Amino acid sequence: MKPDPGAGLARYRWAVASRVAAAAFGGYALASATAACLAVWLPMARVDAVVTAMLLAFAVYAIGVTWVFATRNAWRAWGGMLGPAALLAALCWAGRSAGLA
Amino acid sequence: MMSIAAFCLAYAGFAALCLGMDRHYETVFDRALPRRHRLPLRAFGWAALTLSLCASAAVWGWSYGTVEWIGILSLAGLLLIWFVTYRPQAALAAGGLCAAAAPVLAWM
Amino acid sequence: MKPAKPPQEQGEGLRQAMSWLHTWAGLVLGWVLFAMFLTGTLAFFRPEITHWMQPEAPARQAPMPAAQAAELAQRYLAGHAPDATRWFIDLPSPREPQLGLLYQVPKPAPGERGFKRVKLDPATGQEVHARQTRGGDFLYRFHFELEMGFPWGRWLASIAGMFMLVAILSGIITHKKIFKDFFTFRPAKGGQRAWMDGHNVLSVLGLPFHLMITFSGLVIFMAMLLPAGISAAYDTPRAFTNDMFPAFAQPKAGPGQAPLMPLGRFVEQAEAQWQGGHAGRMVVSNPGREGAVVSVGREASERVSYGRVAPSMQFDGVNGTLLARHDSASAAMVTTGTVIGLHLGLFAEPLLRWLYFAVSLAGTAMVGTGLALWVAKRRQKAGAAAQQAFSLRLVDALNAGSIAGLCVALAVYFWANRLLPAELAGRSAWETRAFFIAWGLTFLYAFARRARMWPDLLALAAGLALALPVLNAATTARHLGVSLPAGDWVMAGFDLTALASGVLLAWMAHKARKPRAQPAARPARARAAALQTR
Repeated sequence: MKPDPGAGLARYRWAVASRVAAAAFGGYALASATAACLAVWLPMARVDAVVTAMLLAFAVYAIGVTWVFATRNAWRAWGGMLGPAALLAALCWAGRSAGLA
Repeated sequence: MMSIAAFCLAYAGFAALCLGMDRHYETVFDRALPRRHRLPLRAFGWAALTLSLCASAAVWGWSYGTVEWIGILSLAGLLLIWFVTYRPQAALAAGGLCAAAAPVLAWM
Repeated sequence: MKPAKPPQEQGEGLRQAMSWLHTWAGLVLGWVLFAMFLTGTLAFFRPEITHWMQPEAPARQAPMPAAQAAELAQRYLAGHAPDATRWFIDLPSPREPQLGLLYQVPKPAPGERGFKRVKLDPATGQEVHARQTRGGDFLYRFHFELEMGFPWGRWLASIAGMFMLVAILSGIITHKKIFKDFFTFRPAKGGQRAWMDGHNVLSVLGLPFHLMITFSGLVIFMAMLLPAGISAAYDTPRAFTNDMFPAFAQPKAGPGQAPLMPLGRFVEQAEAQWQGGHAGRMVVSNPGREGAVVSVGREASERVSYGRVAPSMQFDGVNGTLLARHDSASAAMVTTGTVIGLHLGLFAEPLLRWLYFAVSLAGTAMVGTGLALWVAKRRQKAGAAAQQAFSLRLVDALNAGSIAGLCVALAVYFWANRLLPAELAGRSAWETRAFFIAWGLTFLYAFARRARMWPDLLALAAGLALALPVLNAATTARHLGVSLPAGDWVMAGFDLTALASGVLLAWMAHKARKPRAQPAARPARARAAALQTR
């Protein structure tokens, strides 16, 4: 599975760098969005919802990073991180507007 | 005494499970693991590990005892592997000894 | 370098990708993680180490009753810190029988910090007179702050923790024969195989611990790491902190002065409400003024979940009425408290504490064997020419400095504690300086003497560790000859652990001295030998 020297190697390195970025930053976005959304929506006392949300968010981050390197290519990796992150962030915003938190 | 019994049970359990694997059985006895030995060894192994948890719970209660048990398992397992690597017969004989000692210690 | 892009086959592709991820997640911050693991392991015995490093302090005795200790603290603080806005009192416990006081200094002198930390000897009510040292606290803080400025150190430590969590998950996925190889350790094979077996055994046997300690470590810093969760639900971070840690909420002071009631009664009242529970930490806000609030928190070691979120009660400091009672009993709080408490291990009684130590040491060795495995793998695959490859040499030298070098540095830290005069000004800074200077020198040595770095550094660490109890005997009157007969298990335990560490390091140094096994020849010979015995 060696890449061709030259253009192939550069491409491979970009792909890896892209995945690393997706994992680190995309993953963090997903984790933050998860924490924010759950903190607003969990039907518990405010402080309880926040700590539960953060505990789950760490698990999501770790699993997300692992998934980024298991999935087929870097584009899917980014999509898988940012897509749900955007959705969760929207849900969080909707919840706050509705006065849930 | 019961806490030592818990450790002995963990060691004995791991020793039995270890002996119940082809590779390690052959190292000790120089012949293949016979089928009729495999199930009893493994059953005993799991039973001993479970009894170890019970012994731990008897001393410290279920929630605290579970934490202790996980620690005991880790240490007993590491010791067994260390021992088995360098002195397989002695290591597994020690397992037998622990299995015998455990009920005595538990009763004391 | 062979990439690990997944080929079409699903199973193999996933395992290969996870192997790649595991290797890099482990290597990039592996040196930091080793240091965190080793100092963290030692930090489980933080007060005991501090005690050994202050041989002038009286031997541990049964702790003074909390109410009495509280009044002792109040007398001292009223005399020394009447204008402080807050007093923090750590009441005596079996592991820390001294009274720990912390108070805010409203107008510190230029160059001085805004708070003062003092330890009182309950028997005398005076400050403990012992040599100034950071003791076990240095190791504890290094573990999560890496002696870097706030907040960079804890951010780096947290990122390392995240890398560790990913390494664990990817390691689990990539480990092919997790059950078959459960008991397998083949040091005789040498080279990569031996290191791999060792790494696997240490990882798998300690897996519950490693997973728990890594995840919980991140959770401890959750407010710093994931502020989005807080800002989504709270207007200000302070509001969250007050909800999470009600004992530390700071009420506003009233306009006038008002005498503070004796603190002992608050302790007694709280302990009565907790039906046998003990008081651990008190916070007095606005002492001597109207609006004074006394918060009594429960002893952290009484339950796993009390580690950071212990139940507490807040009283009006002037008239004694109960203002609030927080039991932290919701499922979420108990869960979070338990996760954090498992990391801190404050609840552990001596046997469990030693189990924590042993398994944590195994975790440290897991990281170390992983780093050594990286080098062994590359060395074996690449052949003679690549022995000189820069990356290989660099990683090997960094490994030696981070692993053997850290052991040397730790020994030097304890040596400095005994050698530096007890009355020397600024001696605690010199102790930690000695630690870092020694550590730096070991890196220099590793880069200068690549061929001999491992056996030499390990032998040096072994020698320093073995000689430590001797040094103790030469410089104090609390050495093994005295501590063992007296049953002073703190002092004796430290000396004995130093001896055991020295033996372990000496064994490692001996193994490191052996000539490196010819990787290609070995497996063939081993296979031939195995065939012959059948």
